[in-house]
Amino acid sequence: MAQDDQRNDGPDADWQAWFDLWRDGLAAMGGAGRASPWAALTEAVWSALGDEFENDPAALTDRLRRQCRQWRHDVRQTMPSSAWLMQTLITLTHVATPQADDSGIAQGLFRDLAGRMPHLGPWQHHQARLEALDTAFENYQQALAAYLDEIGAIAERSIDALEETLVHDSEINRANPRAMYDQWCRLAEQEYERHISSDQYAAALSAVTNSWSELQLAAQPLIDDCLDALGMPSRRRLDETQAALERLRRQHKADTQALRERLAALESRLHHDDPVDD
Amino acid sequence: MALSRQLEQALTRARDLQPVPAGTTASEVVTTTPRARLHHYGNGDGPPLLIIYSLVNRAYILDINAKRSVIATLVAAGLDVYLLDWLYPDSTWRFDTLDDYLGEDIAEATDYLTRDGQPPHVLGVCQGGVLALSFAAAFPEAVRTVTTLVTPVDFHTSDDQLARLARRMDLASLVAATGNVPAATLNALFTSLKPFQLYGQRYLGLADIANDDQALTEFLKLERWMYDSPDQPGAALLQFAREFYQRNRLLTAEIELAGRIIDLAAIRAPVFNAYARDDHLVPAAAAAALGPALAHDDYKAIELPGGHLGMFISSAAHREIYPTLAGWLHER
Repeated sequence: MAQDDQRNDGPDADWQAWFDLWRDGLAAMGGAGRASPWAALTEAVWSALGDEFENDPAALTDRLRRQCRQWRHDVRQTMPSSAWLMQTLITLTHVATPQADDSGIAQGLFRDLAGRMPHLGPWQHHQARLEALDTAFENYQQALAAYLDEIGAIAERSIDALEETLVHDSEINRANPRAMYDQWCRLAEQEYERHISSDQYAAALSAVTNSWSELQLAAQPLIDDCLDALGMPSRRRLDETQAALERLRRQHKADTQALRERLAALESRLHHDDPVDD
Repeated sequence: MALSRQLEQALTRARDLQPVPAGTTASEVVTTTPRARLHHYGNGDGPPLLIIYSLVNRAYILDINAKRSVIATLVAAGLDVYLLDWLYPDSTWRFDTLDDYLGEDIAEATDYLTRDGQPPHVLGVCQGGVLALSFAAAFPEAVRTVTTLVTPVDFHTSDDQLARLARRMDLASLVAATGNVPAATLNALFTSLKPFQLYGQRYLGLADIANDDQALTEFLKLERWMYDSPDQPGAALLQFAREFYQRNRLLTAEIELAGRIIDLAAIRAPVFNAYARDDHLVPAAAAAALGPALAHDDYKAIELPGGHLGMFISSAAHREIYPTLAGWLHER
């Protein structure tokens, strides 16, 4: 196997084919692969190793750095933009406020939002919800960008560590891309484990998680308004139903327990031939 | 064989081998509780042992490999093994709390297994170990012994990365936003502890086992288990994360569940505690904190080299932990 791993045992196209297969495999995993910044990052590094190889550590690590920077750029490009949010908000406003079924009103609401106008008139609650969503979206974008910067910094440091290793460790099989890749993964994991212990990383991860929750909470009422307006089940109504079911379940449990205790008391009295007190 | 062909062969063969089975040992469902089915393994001889698994993953990791099955090993050692197999929560479970798990499911299972006034042995795994300890503290008379495998007790040890990351999270908002917390959210958190290994390297290794159906099958079984994660009931998850991970209240005896204060010093049953030296999910120190928290000396602790999953599937665990545990249980 180790011999088969050598890039020079076959055509260069084999390495690229392997990389393509691996990438397709990640794509097949759907959320577990493509949706993860980790998978995208390792794919970027893999891609850099899969390019035409020169036995030159500096050239390789330069290419890795370029690839990582490209990854950071690509990730940022895929983040939803404010324009996307604006269009989404206008669409939600159209659906949720059918009485205001007029693009002028909907866009006017959004202009008020952009200008941070006071919430006035019959749609003021909707205005407040739009503003809350806009703020939550901005907070999430900032937190996500900061978190991706953390990952990017770890990746940069792992490349520094790989360069250091390549310069000083002559036993690494530089002609074997997979060995190089495994080495990078090990170094990156070490860098990551060091970094994950920092307050800075914990704060960045918490910020992205918390801002995502806030974004969900801000979006949900608007989505519920749409679903309610369309006469469809909404999260709001499901929550109410589930809460009612929960109250019934607890009441049923308490009633059953009370009946069991009453039954036990009656059985006990019967067993002792005591008169049953009804 | 060229690498690309080897990986292609592995992927093609892996597809042919799917679906892979979840467990290997035959069982029958003997009763149900509100949130679980009680499975019975073996022929019914020997003292009953109730296994309480974590809510986070499925219990078949204990029976994933016929040669290294925790359940089969315990059955072969003469124990009457029962597993409380948690069901996949639906959206109506979002208000269920740990009080319900203790006061309903575990209480009903231990009642079912109490024979002639003799309660069952209880074995808890990871989060299930926290539930087992909490139950034993709340209802000391309802368990014969308590065994914990890779179970956190002190959630604030310096090397507990999961607790460190969870400490700043606004879990109430997360639960409010999601209801039941999706499995994918927790999986993302767990895999983020070893991202380069789990995303970067794990799947490349398939090329090395392209011609080994047995190894491919074992890989696929573990792969199935890793991501076969139930959603988490919102209220119970919030309670667990806030009270234990954020506030460390299992150790400080400041939490009340099922109407009882959970004080580990109230546990009267003998305790067997096994944990892994290099566990990145439950650090050894977090698990080892159990001994000093008990008020009695009938306590046995074993530290095993290796990581979290090694406790269930490593040859070392099957050589050192389970024979010792079976003997210890039979003595009690």
